[in-house]
Amino acid sequence: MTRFDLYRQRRLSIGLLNGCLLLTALSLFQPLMGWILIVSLCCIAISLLQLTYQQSMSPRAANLMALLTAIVLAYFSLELGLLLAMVNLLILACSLKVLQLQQNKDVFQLILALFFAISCGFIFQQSIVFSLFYGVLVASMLLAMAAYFRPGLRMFAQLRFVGRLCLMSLPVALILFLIMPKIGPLWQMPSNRSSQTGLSDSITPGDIAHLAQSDALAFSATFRGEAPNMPQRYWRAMVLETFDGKTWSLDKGKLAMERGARQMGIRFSPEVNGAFYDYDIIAEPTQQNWLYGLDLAVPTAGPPGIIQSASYQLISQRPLMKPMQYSLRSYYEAPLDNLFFEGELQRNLQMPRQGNPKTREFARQLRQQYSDDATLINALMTHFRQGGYRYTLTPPLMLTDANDDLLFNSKAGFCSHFASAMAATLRYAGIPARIVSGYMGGEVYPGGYMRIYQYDAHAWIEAWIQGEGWKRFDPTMMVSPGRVSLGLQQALADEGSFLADSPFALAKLRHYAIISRLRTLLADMDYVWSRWVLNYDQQKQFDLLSALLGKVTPLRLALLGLSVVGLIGLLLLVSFFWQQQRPKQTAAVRYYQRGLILLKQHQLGRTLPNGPQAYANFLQQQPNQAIWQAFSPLHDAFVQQQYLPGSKQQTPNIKQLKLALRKLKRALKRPV
Amino acid sequence: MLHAKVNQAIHHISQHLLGKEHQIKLALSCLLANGHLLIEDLPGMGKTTLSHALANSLGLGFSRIQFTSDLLPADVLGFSTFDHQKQDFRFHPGPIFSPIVLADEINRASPKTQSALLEAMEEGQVSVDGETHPLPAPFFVIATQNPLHQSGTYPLPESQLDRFLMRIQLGYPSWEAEKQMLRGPLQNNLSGIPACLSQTELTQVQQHIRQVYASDAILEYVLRLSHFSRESDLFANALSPRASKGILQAARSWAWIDGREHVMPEDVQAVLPCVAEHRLRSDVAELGQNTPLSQRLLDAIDPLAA
Repeated sequence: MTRFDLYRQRRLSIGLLNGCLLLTALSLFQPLMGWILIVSLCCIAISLLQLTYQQSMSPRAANLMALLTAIVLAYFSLELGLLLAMVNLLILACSLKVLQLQQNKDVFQLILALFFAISCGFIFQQSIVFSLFYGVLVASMLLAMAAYFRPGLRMFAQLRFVGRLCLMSLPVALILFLIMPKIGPLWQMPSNRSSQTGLSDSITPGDIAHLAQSDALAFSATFRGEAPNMPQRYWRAMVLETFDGKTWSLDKGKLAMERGARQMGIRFSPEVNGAFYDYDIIAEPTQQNWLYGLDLAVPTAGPPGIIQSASYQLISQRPLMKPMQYSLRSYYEAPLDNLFFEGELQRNLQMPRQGNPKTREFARQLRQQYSDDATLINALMTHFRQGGYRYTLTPPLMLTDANDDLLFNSKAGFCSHFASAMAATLRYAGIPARIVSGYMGGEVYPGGYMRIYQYDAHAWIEAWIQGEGWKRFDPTMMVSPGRVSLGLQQALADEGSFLADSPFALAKLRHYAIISRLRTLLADMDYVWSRWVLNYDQQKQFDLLSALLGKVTPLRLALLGLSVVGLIGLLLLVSFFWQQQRPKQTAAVRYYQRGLILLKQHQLGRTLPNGPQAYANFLQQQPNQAIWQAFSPLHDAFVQQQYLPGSKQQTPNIKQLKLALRKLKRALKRPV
Repeated sequence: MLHAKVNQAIHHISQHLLGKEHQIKLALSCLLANGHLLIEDLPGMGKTTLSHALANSLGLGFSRIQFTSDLLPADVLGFSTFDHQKQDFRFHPGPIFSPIVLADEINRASPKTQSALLEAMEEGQVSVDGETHPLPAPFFVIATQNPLHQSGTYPLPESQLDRFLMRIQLGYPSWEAEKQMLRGPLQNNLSGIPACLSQTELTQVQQHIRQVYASDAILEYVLRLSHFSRESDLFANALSPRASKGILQAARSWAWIDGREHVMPEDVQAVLPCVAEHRLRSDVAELGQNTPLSQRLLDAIDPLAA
């Protein structure tokens, strides 16, 4: 077996670092600007070419590039905001650094910067998949570091070394995670509108149906006890009360009034009692404030800052930047009959004067036929069931008078079309009505929790019936009963448009048993991750500490910290003694080999058939006498160890060997 | 003490064979390792001188057989004649019954005679007419041979070459050495070499050498060498286990002469060309044209690799 080539291993480790940079940059493609990504790809390509052809770029060229790109970045940074600009700058700096890996310190800087970039990645992605991915990245960077700064070992030995380091640091990381004080974020996340996901706060029937085409997770729910049946799973998110003839949107005036009222100390918490569901929700980050709940939801536990609105919505005070867990109790039999503001019903009758003439006429006819509100609504629902309407995710575009178009021409659409048409008709007929958007359905997993995906997004209406309050009506249920009772996927089984935009979505392939199991496994892992890791906050930490300590006092905290430190120290001590017990005879060989590596780096390597004695003679003839003087203890210990009798009983003096190695380093640095 | 005497012997011999100290050391370590020695070179290079000097300085009785193409086995081993007085066959021991046998130009004899000698070397005894006669102990054969491309030679087969622990070549002397030789007396008086060791001392030395320490690292180095010769296709013949044993024994002897009680990789490397070359390739004709095979073998194996 020949010795592993030192320089090859170093080149390999630089290649590995380049790969890590590439993956980190790609994983940050959302916050990164396009041109930064391109610059970084170019730098990596150049660095790999440099590795292959063993050439390096002149420092001046690299510096010039750094200056130019920094100026361009500074220009963009105003619109990016501080955090995004800094992330961009970090990746840019890493990319330029790979062009200039001349000395050990360059490599070290690159590795440190990459570690920082990876931790930046967690600002944007926290799911289990990304966490695992970043974990693998960190491990490969450690491997690259080991291979670069300690070459000469076979790759398998390096892997074992890095693996051992990671295992050793795991308990420390766990303890830090559990007992380190949780500090809030030090920066304000930019709320970029384009980065918002989930429901939009307005509905324009005739828009393209893009929401139903995403298989991203919206939130998951765990019920304590009984869970509602499929037709009861209407998750309210937003109530849209303003209609301008085309678009339904939030009532900004009402929201402003609510804010004012809250500041005056008024809470919109209706008196409720009766049967209820108890459940926890983990909402995925949306960069919006809307939370989800079944009617009529009252928050029971969770982080402070969940507000109930006058329209029975749940609002988080901060936008959802990371998964948020909260507990709700939903009184599903309670009526929604509170009118917090005067004129609330009038607001829900407002219609523009122009547009949709046919709908207007249709409403007038209905009003003439039925004087009672409830019968009118029933008749309208019957009309949706029997009027020859069709449910589709790919309706024709309806540019003007969308409600007319849907009701009388195309007769095909999805939930928001039908909801909009029905709410408009009811308003024309003089019945207060509004659109509620949220999610309908949810998939129950074997783990006992329910996951609601973006393709479960839905819109339905509420109409005010005197004496009963706001009542939910879902015209989509009339048109396509399967959408409500079976879920979106079944309803669209024939049409084939379910997730038509994402051809590789796992949800589509669930007919294959293995894919289905994989999807379940991923969902389970993600659920546990969100529940126990991402949502481990100050409150939970406090609970844990209270469970451990009884009462959390500074003294007890200090004792806990000390005992943890003591435990780690004890483990270290045990492992240290264990190391001591192991035979040390190989130490001489190890140090001798290290000396050989050092000498090889200075062109004083051992040529092949030479044994230790011949090599010693060679070193003795070197003009720099200090080299042999420093090396001779290593040589003596090695010969003693390898070739002399009785070496099993003797152990080398490691301190002396270390000293010799240090002396050798110094001797090699000194010019002759 | 013994060590000093051996070095003295080397010193004395090198007075007569100028500039060949390394070869003298090798030859001595071969004999001290209880192995037979084959000296191969062109005529007039000092083969006979070296063998004579070795025999003299070890203080052993020796006999010399000049091998020719008409030499018969009986001329080497001895023969039985009928004794009329005792009415019995009487064995007349041949020149081989001597502690040191100088077999000059061994490859000029017919294969039959060669094998008679080589069998005696291997078994330490001679069988003539159904009777077995033990050879004296110690028993060394120092054979010389001419390179094979010389006319009138019968090459020794591999199996018989294997019985020689070492084959050494003397080579031309250096300019200085040859000049000094020319300046000296015309006739070399080899009898002037004093015997440096007594017979008991020789046995002691041999016993001592057997106890020279060879660590695991050394054993593994020897094993790596011989295994490489078996696995690689560089070599016509591989090293046999007997060869591995020979290498180790010779290295021990070399280390002892060098004044050490343990074997170093350098000892193995010093003796390997002589011990291995004639086993790796019997075809001597190529000699001097390529890198010796034993050198290639050494170059391929790192003595330190674990």
